[in-house]
Amino acid sequence: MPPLQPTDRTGAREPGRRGPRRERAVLALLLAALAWVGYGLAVETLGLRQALAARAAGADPARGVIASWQPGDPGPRRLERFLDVLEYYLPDGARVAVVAPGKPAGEEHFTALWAAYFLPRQRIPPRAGALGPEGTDPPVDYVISWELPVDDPRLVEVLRHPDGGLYRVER
Amino acid sequence: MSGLASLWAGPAGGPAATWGLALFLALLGGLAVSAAGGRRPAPEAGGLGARTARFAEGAVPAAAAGLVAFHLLLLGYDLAGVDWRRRTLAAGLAALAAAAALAAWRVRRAARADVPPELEPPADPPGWADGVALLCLGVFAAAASSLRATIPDFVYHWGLKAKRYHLAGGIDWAWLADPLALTEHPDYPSLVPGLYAATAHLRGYFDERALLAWSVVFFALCVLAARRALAAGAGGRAVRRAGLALVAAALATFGVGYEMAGSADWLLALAVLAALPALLAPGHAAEPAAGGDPAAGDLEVGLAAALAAGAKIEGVALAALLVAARLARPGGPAGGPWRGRLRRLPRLALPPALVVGPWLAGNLRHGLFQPDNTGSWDAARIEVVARAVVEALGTAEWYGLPWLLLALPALLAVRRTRAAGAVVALQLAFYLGVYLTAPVDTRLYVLSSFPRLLFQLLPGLLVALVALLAPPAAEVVAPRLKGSQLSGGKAPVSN
Repeated sequence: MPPLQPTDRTGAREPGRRGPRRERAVLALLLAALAWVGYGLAVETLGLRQALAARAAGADPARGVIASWQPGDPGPRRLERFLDVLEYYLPDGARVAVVAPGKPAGEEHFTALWAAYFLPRQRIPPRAGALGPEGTDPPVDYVISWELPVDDPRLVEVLRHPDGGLYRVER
Repeated sequence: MSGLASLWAGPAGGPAATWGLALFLALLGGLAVSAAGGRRPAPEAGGLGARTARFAEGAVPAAAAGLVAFHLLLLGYDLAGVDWRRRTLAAGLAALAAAAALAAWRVRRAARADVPPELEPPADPPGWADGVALLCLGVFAAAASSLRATIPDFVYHWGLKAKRYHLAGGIDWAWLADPLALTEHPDYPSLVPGLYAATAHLRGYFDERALLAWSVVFFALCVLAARRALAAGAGGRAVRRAGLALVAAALATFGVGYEMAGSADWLLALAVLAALPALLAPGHAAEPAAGGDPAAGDLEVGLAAALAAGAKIEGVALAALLVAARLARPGGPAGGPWRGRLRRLPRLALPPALVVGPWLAGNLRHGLFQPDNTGSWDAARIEVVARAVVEALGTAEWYGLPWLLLALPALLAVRRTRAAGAVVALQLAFYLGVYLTAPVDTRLYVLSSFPRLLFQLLPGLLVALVALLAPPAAEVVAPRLKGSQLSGGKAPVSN
């Protein structure tokens, strides 16, 4: 059996002048694209480095926008510490709404999503307005208020904390 | 020993655990692929560098097989009511590895001496592009390890699901079906959260760095898959190297800039890249016309399709497209084009079917499909979608690469790249179809998802474009054809 001896990985190259010229043109194109994307990588890496430096200095790289939080940032770490305290009071499987008084609905939504991540044993509707409008029966057992206290006649305060509070729904 | 223990307990221990599991799965998958191939392994050609490169490239189908096998093990446990715990997972993995090793040994022993082993041309030895790729991998690994390049969906979806599965010791169907709980994609397949939950069990606790390290593993596999695909479909070593470096740089740039650590989109990008050798190769050993074994290419595409189907809901569509594209390629065992294709169907379609079946059954049983996945056609959305798509194509972190989609017609026009181009084009059409029908805020939907969905397709598109621009000028028809393969094969296609 004669041996297989291609000149490169895909097969023998036919002789001809058009091939090498075309290959050189494609190579130039690819190297130009690589230089451009490499520049992009340098820009993005620099941006990441600045964010990490800000984080190391105690600043918030997310600039207070909860939608821009990343694990390890000061914002989510503060929320996690707060929820660690509250978890002691929350039974497994409890239905818990998360509210963020004074914040837009979008921010409240993202706070609830992060809270759901930090409290996987509880059932947290990860959306804004989960407590329901005043005067209605809330579809939850507890309410966590982030940063500011909540004033609602349907709720009884369980714990006040510098980062918010925990309330039980009175039925 | 105490130094080693503190290293393991420290930040480096998480990624080390993930890489350990990934290597074990690749070993397991490699044995399984070897057994399924039913052939003696090829004698390695070339120098040490080329042999090392060939070995590394072989990690792609091996890892795909290992990941799919592990996913099926987790699904099997879920079905049988066996908890996912460290002990049960270790026992399952050991049993799978033993079965794969036994099967591979029996195949090797039974291989007939008169049947030549599968030969492939030598791999490209490592070059400057591999150095660039390693650098890019290192940058992304550092970014992932810092946690500051984490995709928000890791917190809202993948990580949250993984935490629940970790606590529940399996897929938490009751929680998925609870209207008060998860609102983010309860109907998605469970390969990624299952892998994360299992990693947490094997690691001993829920270590985010360990879970995000899977994205680094997938990055490495994407680079190896791109290397393999370029080797199969593009001519000129210098061009292949530049193409590989470009793919690695694009993955790292978007991966760092758009914060892709923890994302499941890596697996879809990997699925496209892993299927490309079989879709692009003009005279690859996997084609019978070149004397190779079509089953090997079919199995590779089938495994890639299974990965896609297990990762995300849109991956099910991608899996179907990959299988169809491979099936549409000329060639097959003797017995006519259609009978030949039907015979190939099990190898191609069985892996994705094994993944899709349990997912579909679970979703239907628990009523998980979301009403806002699709809706009715609304022509008013066309303009909104078009504007938003153009805006998304200009996403800063992509540095203009999405505009390469404009070259899709060229891929479709050339026979050799048509299958790859069709997969990208039809998957794109699938995304647009969803955007045009989903009853949600269309503009927000497109802008928040389309740049990520492009990540699934652009690496493969880059490789296909390199193959288009720098085609292999001539085909090698290996002088080792078996008669039966010759009779069923067509002439090599070169356009």
